[in-house]
Amino acid sequence: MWLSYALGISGFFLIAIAIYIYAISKKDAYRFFYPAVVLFVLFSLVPISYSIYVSFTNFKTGHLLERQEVVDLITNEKIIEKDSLLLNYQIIKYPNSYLLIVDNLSGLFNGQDQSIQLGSTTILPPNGIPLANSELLAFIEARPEFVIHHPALGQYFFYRSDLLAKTVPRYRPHGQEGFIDSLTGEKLVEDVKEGQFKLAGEAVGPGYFTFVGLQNYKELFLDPATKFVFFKTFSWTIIWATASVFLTFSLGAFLAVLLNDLEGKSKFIYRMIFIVPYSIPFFISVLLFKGMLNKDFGEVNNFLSFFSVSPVPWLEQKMWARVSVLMVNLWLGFPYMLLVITGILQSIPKSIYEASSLEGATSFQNFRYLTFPLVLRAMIPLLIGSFAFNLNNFVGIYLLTGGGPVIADASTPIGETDILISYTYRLAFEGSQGQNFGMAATVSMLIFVIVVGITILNFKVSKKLSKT
Amino acid sequence: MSSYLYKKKNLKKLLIHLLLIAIAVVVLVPIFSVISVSFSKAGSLKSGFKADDFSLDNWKYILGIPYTNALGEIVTSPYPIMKWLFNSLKVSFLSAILMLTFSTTAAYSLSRFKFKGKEASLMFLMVMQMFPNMMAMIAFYFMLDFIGQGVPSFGIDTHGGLILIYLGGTPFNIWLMKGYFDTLPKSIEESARMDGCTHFQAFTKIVLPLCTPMLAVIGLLTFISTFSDFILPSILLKSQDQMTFAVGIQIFISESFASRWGQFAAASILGALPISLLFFSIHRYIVDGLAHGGVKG
Repeated sequence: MWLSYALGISGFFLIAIAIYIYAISKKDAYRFFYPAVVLFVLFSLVPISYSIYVSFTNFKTGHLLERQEVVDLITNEKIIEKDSLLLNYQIIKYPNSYLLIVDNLSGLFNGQDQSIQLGSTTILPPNGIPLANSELLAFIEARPEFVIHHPALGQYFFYRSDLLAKTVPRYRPHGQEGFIDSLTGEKLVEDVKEGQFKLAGEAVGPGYFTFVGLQNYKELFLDPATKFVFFKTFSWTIIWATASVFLTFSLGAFLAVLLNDLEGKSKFIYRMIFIVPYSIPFFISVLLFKGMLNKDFGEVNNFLSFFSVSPVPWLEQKMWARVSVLMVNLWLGFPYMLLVITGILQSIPKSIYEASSLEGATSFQNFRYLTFPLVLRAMIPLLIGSFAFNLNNFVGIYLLTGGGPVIADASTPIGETDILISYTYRLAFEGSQGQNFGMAATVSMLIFVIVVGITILNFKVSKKLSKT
Repeated sequence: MSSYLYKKKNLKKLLIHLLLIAIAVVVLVPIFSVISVSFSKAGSLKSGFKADDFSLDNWKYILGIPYTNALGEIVTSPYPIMKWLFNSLKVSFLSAILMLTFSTTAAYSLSRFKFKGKEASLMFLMVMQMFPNMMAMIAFYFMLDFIGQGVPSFGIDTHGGLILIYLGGTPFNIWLMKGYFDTLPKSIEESARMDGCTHFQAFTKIVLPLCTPMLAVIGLLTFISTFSDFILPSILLKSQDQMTFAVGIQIFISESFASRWGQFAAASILGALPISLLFFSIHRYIVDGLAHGGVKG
């Protein structure tokens, strides 16, 4: 719904603007810029608008259909009329037509017919083939409205692959878009807020998705069980991102300073070795570590067993799992810091060290008062960027632990190492209690707010730094 | 005194080297262990570095060459692993080329022209790029489903559709490229314009040839990141023949990981090697790019 509207409207405007830019205005600036705008609008903006929209709906398992689809399902529900007879039937297929046989009556019809009058045909055309059971099902499913007029019993419909029945709609239309249950005579109540038709409080048919306003946001912040899961995951996300940045920066800075003081070829060789992890596609390294950290056959426990260390549950136990994801992320992430800091160190003019050595500074003092503040100042925007990256580092968590170990008493499936983005993934794609796209979109929105906040901070800090 | 200082300095140097070597070992041991596993006999778990354990079975399995296993059966991999690798290379290559095309023109416009809404659109692009993509996956799915009804070669389970979605990530490259264009003096095109070139001619004939190295780097970075992506293709690609490498090798993880460990190791090396080599071929330029605002990481 939303998507087709959004695509249609943006498509219309994009074409209109394209005509204006390329045929009328002919301004070079826009002509160069526009193709990227089209891609951006269609494949970034429209999906984002969709996410935002979904966060205000109850789009989830049990509410995946549109209202009209649910109404159609309810309208099509049939019951057999009380005290009516069921009739056996057979269909014989001919090259251009079908023959329906009920007891001693029959009638010919072609593929497009929507009704048939049964009569007493005596001459059966030759070379017909009876439709098999499996074909019959598809045949009658394609003809829900097919009316069979029986001379004595009135209107019949296809009911099963072997039976015709006098079926009537279970729910009779009543007033504007209302229904009455023909079994009990009760009115079908539509709960617009929930997106569900109900009969005496019981749900009838599947729900449809509908606009629910801030309900998802309220649930996230007010419902005790959901709130617990959200804030627990949120705090671990912050710890994870902070610790990842701190560890990778520390090791990267330490190695960069050590390497910077070395001379000759060894410096080059060490550096090449240290950036190897950075050159391997991220998902491959993480999956390899998943294997190596396996409790029963992984190389790490294998190695430890030489020292009679009993197998460590690297990925199975809360504390170890958290240590594992951080250590693997350190292994993967420190080369980036090393590379960047090396670049910064090389850009620091040698002359300032000469000046300080004239003053009699030790190498530690040099590091403490000259190198470190200079590196940190240049690094702050990159550290904030790295923080934002790790906040959403789905691969680093999901491929290693799958978010596990699972928290047993949580209301929704969630693990001890799950971060917000992997929580979103669970909500949307692998919930054991069904998929909850609405809530997943809501969590996405919050992540977006956090990341944008960090980015704005990043800009402010960079601007401040570039001024001083 | 001086010999004492000298000794102290040497000792310090030795300690530093020992430390660096220790870290280098931690970095390299996982890689060597994966390589050794890939050459060990299929199915033997606690392998180590024994010589009699050496076998090419895992590699034959990955490369689709039949081999005889321990039970004497002839085994051929049921998975089109080389096809996956080819798919990945194809999708990544085409995405990189197309993205380059669209982002260079946009970046050039942002760098060279003054126009209304320039600053605002730059900022907007930047902020929108931060939206977590996870939910958009559902939108992507429905969109491709919709497009596929009209143009089947861009529907779900097609490489065309996947590439189309990747192109939405174009704005990220615009930032990197704009920074580079800013460093090129304007005078180079101005003289061409004086001689009667259109802007477009000046751009294609004068500016683009000057930025070939930069285009190569950004193209390769896009290539690498597309190659490594697995979430989007795992949602959009259904049939085994269409899968990319990153999606396909998940099969080794999901079913009986332990007995497939050797095969997975070989597959990983096969996938990592081209990317690793690419990375080392351009790593000097990446370092420069990193210092200007984070490329991957």
